[in-house]
Amino acid sequence: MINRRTFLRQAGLSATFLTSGGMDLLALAGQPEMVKITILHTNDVHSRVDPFPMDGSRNQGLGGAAKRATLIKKIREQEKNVLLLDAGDIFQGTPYFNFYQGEVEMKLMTAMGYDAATIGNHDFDAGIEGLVRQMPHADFSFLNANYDVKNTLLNGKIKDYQVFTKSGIRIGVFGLGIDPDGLIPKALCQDVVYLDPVKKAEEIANRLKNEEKCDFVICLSHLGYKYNENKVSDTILAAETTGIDLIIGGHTHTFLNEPVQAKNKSGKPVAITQVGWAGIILGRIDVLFERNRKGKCMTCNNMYVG
Amino acid sequence: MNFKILYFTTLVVFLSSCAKKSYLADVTSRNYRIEKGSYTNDVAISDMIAPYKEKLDLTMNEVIGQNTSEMTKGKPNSTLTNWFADALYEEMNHMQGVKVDFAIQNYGGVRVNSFAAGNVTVGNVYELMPFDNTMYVLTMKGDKVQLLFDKIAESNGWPISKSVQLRVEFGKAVDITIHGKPLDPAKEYVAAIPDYVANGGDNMDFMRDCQKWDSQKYVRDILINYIKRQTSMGQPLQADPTKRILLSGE
Repeated sequence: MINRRTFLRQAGLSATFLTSGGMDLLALAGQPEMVKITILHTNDVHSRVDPFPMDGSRNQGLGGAAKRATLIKKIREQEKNVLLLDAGDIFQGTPYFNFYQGEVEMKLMTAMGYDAATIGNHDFDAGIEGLVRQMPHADFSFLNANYDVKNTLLNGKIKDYQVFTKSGIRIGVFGLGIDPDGLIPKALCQDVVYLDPVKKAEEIANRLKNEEKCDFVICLSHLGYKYNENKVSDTILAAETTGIDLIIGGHTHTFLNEPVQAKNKSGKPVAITQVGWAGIILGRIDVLFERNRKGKCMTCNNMYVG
Repeated sequence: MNFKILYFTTLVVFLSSCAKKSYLADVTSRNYRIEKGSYTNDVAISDMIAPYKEKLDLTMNEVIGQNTSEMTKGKPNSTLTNWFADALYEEMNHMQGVKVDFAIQNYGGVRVNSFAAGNVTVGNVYELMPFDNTMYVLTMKGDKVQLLFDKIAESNGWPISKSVQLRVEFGKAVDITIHGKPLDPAKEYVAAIPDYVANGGDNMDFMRDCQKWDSQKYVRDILINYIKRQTSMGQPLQADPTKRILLSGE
């Protein structure tokens, strides 16, 4: 475990103290009030309920829902404001899906307290009906803004976005899906209409920032990290939109050791992340906010004690 | 942690310009790798999985064959992709009334990077081919076969049975032979191809209007049947190293 702490010189306090317990004290003491939001994320878990079998193959022993649940629980004990998200392709990849059609995956994600997921191409593998059938087992939101599903059974079952308020901080989360053409058999995704993800993202992200007054905007994307050809991806999405702070990606099973920093259309920073597949990695991003602050940050100095 | 410092600094500059209700002061990240000895199992989650797992294990743990050495997935040829396509070719031709010239599998449909040596279980084959794709038998004119192989060349190789050999030149398939004879654009060939590709998946629209027959057998079950048949004849799994796809200059 990397032991990394952030010291804020201005606040004169270490980040470990800036958790729920420390915050009220800070406010009382007239110090700037800090709020930490902890974003946990997975993508392309592909029905990996058990760890990879111990058969000498490359990924043996990695992953597993029961271990991930322990880790998430531990983090929840330490952090007040946790958001748990998934970037799609929950289904398909182990016999759990062939035998139980996604019921196990949905129940486990619910038990772990997932807040939202987007829809990956493989989440259509049992057809729209198959996906809808498993939704009663899922006590979390399905977010997608660029699939028009009004002529399908999914109508009313997925939302463009959702705003999560944690200790007064508003986090807007929306979802984007990949072009089904040539990827998802028509018989499975039926009358889902694919809309331009860049246009849709621009519209939703700005609505979240301006109308919904979000402090932070997250895109759950199943577009894929990057392609050689000029196909829309998270890197293109980041560069051609404004208003997104963080893209949590999927589809290309890309293992990024840390979020990649990109620039958006106005030259402002966007972080792109993706944590491979199969639940081998749980990604974590902590975002620290200073509440009720206006104007300039004077000196926020970061130090890392490894 | 370069990301952190950069992201942080730029965000500070960016956000300082506008009066926000809350001010983004810092971003840090870390990845947790979930390994065998890393975390204990959450009991509630394990209990939840148990009844599903027990039922599943009854089917999945059945040993159906032996694998002589680890097979790995790669492009343009590899032990695993060679074995996969040859197994489909052999088993489809074993089917009553079916005679195919070659078999292919889309690369993305092979879902493991390595297939371990030793016991082969039903579960291993599910991991290798989890999709419920059925096998189609297509009658294709040689010119369509050319388009199919061009697509495969452009993708730097897919699993192809050893009845085919081709060379990739500038992203196109050239010097194509089937059963050792040059591809004839006017001749009809019979191919075993998963439904996903046969129906135009992976952007292969030109496949849609070929004459096709659905065997209604899952690709996975074809592999399972093949392994069982080999085992009944005392044969372990063994990849044929014959190169099917040559690169420019080979």
